Amino acid sequence: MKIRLMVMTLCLACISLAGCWDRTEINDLAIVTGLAFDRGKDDRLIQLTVQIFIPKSQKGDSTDGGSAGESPHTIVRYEEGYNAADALSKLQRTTSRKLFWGQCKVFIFSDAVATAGIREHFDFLVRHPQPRERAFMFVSKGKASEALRLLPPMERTSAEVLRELAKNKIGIGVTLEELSIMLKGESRSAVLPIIRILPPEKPADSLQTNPFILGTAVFKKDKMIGEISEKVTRGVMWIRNDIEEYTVTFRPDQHQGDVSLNPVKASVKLIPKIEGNKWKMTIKVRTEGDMIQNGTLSNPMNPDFLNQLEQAFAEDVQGRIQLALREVQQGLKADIFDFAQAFQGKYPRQWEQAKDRWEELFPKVEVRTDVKAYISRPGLTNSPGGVTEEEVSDS
Amino acid sequence: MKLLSLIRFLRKPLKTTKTEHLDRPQQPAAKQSRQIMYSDLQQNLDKLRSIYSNCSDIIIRSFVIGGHTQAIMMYIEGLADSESIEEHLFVPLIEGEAGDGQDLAYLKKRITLAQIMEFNTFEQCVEFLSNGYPILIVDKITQGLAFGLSKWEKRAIEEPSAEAGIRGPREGFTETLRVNTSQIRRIIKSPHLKMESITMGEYTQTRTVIAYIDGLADLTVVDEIKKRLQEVQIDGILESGYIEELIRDHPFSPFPLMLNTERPDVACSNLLEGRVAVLTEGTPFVLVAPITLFSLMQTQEDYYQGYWYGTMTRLLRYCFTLISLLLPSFYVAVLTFHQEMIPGSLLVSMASSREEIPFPALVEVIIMEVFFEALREAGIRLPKQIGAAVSIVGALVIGQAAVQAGLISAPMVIVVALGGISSFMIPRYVAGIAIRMLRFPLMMLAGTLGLAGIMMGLILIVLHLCKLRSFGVPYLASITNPQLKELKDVLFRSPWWMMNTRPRLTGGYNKYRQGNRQMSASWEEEE
Repeated sequence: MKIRLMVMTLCLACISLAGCWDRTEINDLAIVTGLAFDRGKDDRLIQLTVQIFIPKSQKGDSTDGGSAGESPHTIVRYEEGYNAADALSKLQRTTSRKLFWGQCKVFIFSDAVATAGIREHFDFLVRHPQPRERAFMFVSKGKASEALRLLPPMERTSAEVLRELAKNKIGIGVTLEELSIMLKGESRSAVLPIIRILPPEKPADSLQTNPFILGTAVFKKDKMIGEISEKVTRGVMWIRNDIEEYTVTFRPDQHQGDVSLNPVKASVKLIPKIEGNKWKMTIKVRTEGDMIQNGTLSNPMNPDFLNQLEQAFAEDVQGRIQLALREVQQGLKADIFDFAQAFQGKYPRQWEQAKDRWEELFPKVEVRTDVKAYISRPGLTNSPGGVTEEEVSDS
Repeated sequence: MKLLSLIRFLRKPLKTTKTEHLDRPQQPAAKQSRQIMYSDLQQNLDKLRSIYSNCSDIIIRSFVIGGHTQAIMMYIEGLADSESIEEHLFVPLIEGEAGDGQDLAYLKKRITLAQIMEFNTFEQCVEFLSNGYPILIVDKITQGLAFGLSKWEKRAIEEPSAEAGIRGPREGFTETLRVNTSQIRRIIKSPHLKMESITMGEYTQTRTVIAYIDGLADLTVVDEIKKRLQEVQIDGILESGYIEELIRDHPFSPFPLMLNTERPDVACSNLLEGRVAVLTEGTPFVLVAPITLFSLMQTQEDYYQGYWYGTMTRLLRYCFTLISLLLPSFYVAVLTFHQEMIPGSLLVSMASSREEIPFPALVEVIIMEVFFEALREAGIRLPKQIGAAVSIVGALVIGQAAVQAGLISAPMVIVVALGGISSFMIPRYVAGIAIRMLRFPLMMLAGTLGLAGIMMGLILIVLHLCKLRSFGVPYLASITNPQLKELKDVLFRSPWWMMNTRPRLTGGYNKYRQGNRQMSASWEEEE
């Protein structure tokens, strides 16, 4: 009995006397929603900007409606330092609450920082226990902190806008984990979406707008070597099999008017082949979509017309892929399609020998595209809408 | 061994009470008169008068049998049926139809009553009197007669209020032991149903009945219960709760090791599964032992309403039991230690609602839980008319005003309310109390050590549950030996035609409860 009592008191003492619990109330936390990396005043320094959520701003929403919209939901703090950790510790000095990274889901590098190389910062993000692996990464055109300063009219924070956009897979969405895999992969190249700021509706309050994704930054190793336009990005997404919900619009030959398909589903296979000294790659695409707009005067239930449509669809996809190949394979010479992975998987021995020469080998890889496109459903109506039967052409 | 050590534990306090009794100058009346009656009527009368001195409810009537033999009739007012005494005793005795009173055997023959008992000590005499039997003592005879004419005011059989249900019998046990035993006997008519009687309590002389079905119940358990009941020496037993506490295993555990029920059908279903029931005079609550943790999760209605309903509600009950035990502490732990676990948008709204709360989450939750317990307790004690007022005030004060005043955050109100209401999902009130009590240490652990603390607490609780034995039956019996056969009435309620065997540990003596191959027979019919 005595021993039991002693053990019990000891246990209780352990719990209550430790004093320095790591207990933190939510009231003592500054919830960081986004983090931006910018170049500092001189080359050695970087400037870190955090977007912090203000809990008070939510309070009034339900009770006194009108005035709540005025007060901003976030504030922005920034500080310079030798590296991210240093800047953050300085940042903590000016913030009354403990910076809390657990919910930070957006990291933005300015293009200047990205060109200089993100390895150092990237190491901080993967090493520090708090940032999430599932946070999304971006490159901003111009200063990265600008995007965090915005007070979007729709979402609570501009970081949330970016997160939602990346999540919807409209453009390329890359998480911290995916970036890590890309940078470590055989091809040593990566892509990140580029964000720009939507021009505000009323020029007076320039903050009442939100950032959006347009174009893609291409990385070789940890340095940004260039960017590709939105159109090329589409082609890249086809090859990378990132296409999820996506509208394709094309004009079939010999017809007036455009046809749009949505949602487009695609399966893409990369089939590598080494013949003697020649490295070849076949991109096999099988895609299908539903018609949502028919600008022509033909009936899609007509098999001839359907054939023409499917051919035109295939050509359109092929055109996009080839554009992407031209820009990226020949122009930037960065293997963001991960051909390297495909070769490594099928020809591990040859790959071991050629690995170091991959950079010069990659632009020379012969790429053949093989697109099979189908239109599976004509939508809710057969014949073109808004015209009489007589006007519908036969082919 | 365990049982032995427990009995030893029980004995200790009992011994001390015994010696105290011996030191006292005045001895209890019931103990005093273990002596044979005198042949002289006057002596007997004096003795009984001294035993029942200052008892205004004792009625002593002297009269003459058949014209020449002196006799007295004694009974306690309100316990005996005075009209019948007049009709069946005084009329034949005084008017001489029952002879002249010299011959007791002849008297017995002439009196038209079903139950006539003889006694020859004062102790028996007192016992009969206090049970409401009128007694007759005749001059020159050292024996007395007691007549089965006891009759007192009692509550009618009513619907059990603590165990309500939609389908099933509406009768509940009452305060009268004999009514209760008759209710059981009416359901189980077999003579294998045994009812052994034991009297407990120095002053109350409370009668208890151990009921079991011979051939189903484990007789060692019956003997053990009998032994423990006999060991109890106490001044009075007012409710079966006394007995439960005095004879249970593990006296310090918060978990109930005996079931209490107000319903004859529940008691009978347990008897049929080989368990033992202890009925107590003066209370409608009947104890059932041995039980497992899962007995506390079953209600009679699981078995009456169809197995889909039974299975669904049972699973629901398990879920809500866990919610009730863990939700408040989980909330505290996540809020103070593991903010990363909360989805982003939820954290943001929680942060907003907690922004102006002056207390840490742990203090907040304890305030609310104590409030809730107080409201619950006040609601039980108050008269019905005021009860409604209390719940309205409680809901307003706690629910609305506290949130608006910025003392308590709105999510906390939801958490506490949900946790509190979930605890009432447990069909046995006692088990609900245990769960509600265990919430508090878990909350403290959650507030100091986070989820790790909750885990530690849970491990301790499970270890404790593993250790518990109810009259030799492990408390977690059905799941420590996970066979489908054992789980048929634990996690889900199997259809009746599949519940062919009794629970292994209580009904092992007579394994099958249904006809041979009944289950396969029912299948064949369908095909």
